[in-house]
Amino acid sequence: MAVSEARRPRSARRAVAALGAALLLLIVLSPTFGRADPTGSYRPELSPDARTNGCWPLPGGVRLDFGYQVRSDELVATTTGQRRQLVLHYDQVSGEEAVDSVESGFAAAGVTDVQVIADDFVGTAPDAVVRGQMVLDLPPSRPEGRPECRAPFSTKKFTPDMDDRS
Amino acid sequence: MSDPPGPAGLLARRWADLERAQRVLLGLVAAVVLLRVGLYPGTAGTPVYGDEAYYVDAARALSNLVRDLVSFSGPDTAELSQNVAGNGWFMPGMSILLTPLFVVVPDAPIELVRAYLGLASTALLLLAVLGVRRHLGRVSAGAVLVVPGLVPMYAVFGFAAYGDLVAGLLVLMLLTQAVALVRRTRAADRGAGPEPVAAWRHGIHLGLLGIAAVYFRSSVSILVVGVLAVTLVAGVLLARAQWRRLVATMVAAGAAFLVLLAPWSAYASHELGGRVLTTTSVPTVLANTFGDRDDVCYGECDPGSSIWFSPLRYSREVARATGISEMQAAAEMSVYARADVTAESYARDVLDNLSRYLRNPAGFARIFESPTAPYPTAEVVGALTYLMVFPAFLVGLVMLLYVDRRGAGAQVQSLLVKVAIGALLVQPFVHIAGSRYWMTLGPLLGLSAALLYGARRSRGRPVAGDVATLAWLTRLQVVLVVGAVTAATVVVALAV
Repeated sequence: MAVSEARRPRSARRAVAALGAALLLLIVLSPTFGRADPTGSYRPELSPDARTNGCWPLPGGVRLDFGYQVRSDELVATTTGQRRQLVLHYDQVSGEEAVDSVESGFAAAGVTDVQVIADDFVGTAPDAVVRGQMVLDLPPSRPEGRPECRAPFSTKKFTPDMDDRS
Repeated sequence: MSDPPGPAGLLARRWADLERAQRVLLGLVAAVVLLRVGLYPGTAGTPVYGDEAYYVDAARALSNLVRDLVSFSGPDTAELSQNVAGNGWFMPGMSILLTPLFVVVPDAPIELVRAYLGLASTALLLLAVLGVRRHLGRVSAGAVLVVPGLVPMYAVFGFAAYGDLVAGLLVLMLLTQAVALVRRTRAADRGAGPEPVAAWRHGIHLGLLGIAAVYFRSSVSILVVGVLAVTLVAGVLLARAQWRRLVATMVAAGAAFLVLLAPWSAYASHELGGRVLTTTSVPTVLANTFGDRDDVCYGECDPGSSIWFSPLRYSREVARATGISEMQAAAEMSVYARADVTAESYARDVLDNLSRYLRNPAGFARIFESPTAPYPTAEVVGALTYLMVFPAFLVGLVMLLYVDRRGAGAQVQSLLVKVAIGALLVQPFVHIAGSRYWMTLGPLLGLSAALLYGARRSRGRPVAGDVATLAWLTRLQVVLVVGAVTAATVVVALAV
């Protein structure tokens, strides 16, 4: 345990006091030394969803009225020409409700060339937040040229050269 | 009449007055310091690696907080939230240690950061060794100076901004103080020994060491709780009139621990919008370690970043879409990814983690070799580390299985070291392990060597003390040994 103050010799007490004063001075003067610049690299900003920021809107400007996470949004070649395939996970609704909501949204916007399939996850709790996966087969969209519209974590358009996540 | 001797003469005279054991200890201290001086140029320029990025960024943000406080301007809460609370993965012990450097040199280059860390970790090692020498004896102090003190990889890691090594030294100090507490309690019972220190003071000292270790590496919280609990049990068994004082000390220790844990828990919980006690990383850790990594994001996570950042992004997206906390999202993801875990797959993963814990103690030698190193160090560091650490691991294993039947002091040490090693070996049961995990274990290995050496030397000598109490301490040790052997047997039987 520490030696009590009373027993510490006077010279040692003086040294401690001087050191304390010097430290205090450094702290008081620290604003004049400039500011440190943290990189924030361990908590990057969460990229916006490219379906809602004007980059890759859904046909007819439709917005989904339930929570979802986009998993991929790709242009694929089919026998009938190019199609846009959007894969997402839906939250807090059943697959049936999600499909109804999406279909009525597109119908209201006058978009007919759309197919929607949903599969609820097996084995999740009934009150689980993420409930299942939906695949939307959509007419192809024209890409936006803005740089933020090419950010892969926003667009969810991944290229084969991106490392696997392990 | 001769002139009074100069400083060199005085030093020579003091050296001549020293006993042989003291000279050996001083020689070891010099070797510890020289080793670090020799390794610094090879490590100095190593860029920030992995989780060091968080610890250094948080220190920068905390230094800005100090500036804002002394200039009476509002703190940059967004910067603090992003860099200190961060993802809630790490507690900011290492960042707090680094903060004074960035207060004085806001744009400190990496060479200065590593020099500062090397000085701090060396000073802490020597401070811990002083305590060990005082309370556990010279042999223990010498053993800790050799292992881990003279292990080259350990010396290099002293320049790193990871918390594992410092947490291990704080654990050593906690253990030393726990032994001192039990001894002091018994001395006061006999009416002998030094004036008993106020119970609350010793308790706060213990609690501070415990919570400081947790701030550097939150996974040692099991160890701290275990060591404090065993100290209480062993102390109460041994104490007579003084048992109330001992309980009061431990209550003070627990209170100090909780009072200092609270600011982090409250801040991280507030910033991340859910309950955080020490770390938020457990669900994703369990998912990655034991679950199916291709199911962590209800399927594969996004490519382009690590097994830690991809699930994090997904959980943040769920939080953004639904308003629940990212921690709750991660917890549900973890349950989904671990749906197919069986006792057998879990046991196999535990063994795999244990092997990662032990098989490559010099795994960071190349990582921490600076691109601007004037001379290569990694090969020598690696070879010497293997030569020293593998035998030390064996010593730790023997310590885990050995029942000390000497006097109360030795048995209490044996109990505490067993609990501490056992608690650190809980890691492979919950987390993918790696080459830096043994840095926390290192000081316990040196202590184990000294304990086993002492036991061997005093074999056959009669044991002094109250036989009934000693029998209880021995029984507690047996319980720990049987527990460790049972756990190992079950895991191996399930895995093969």
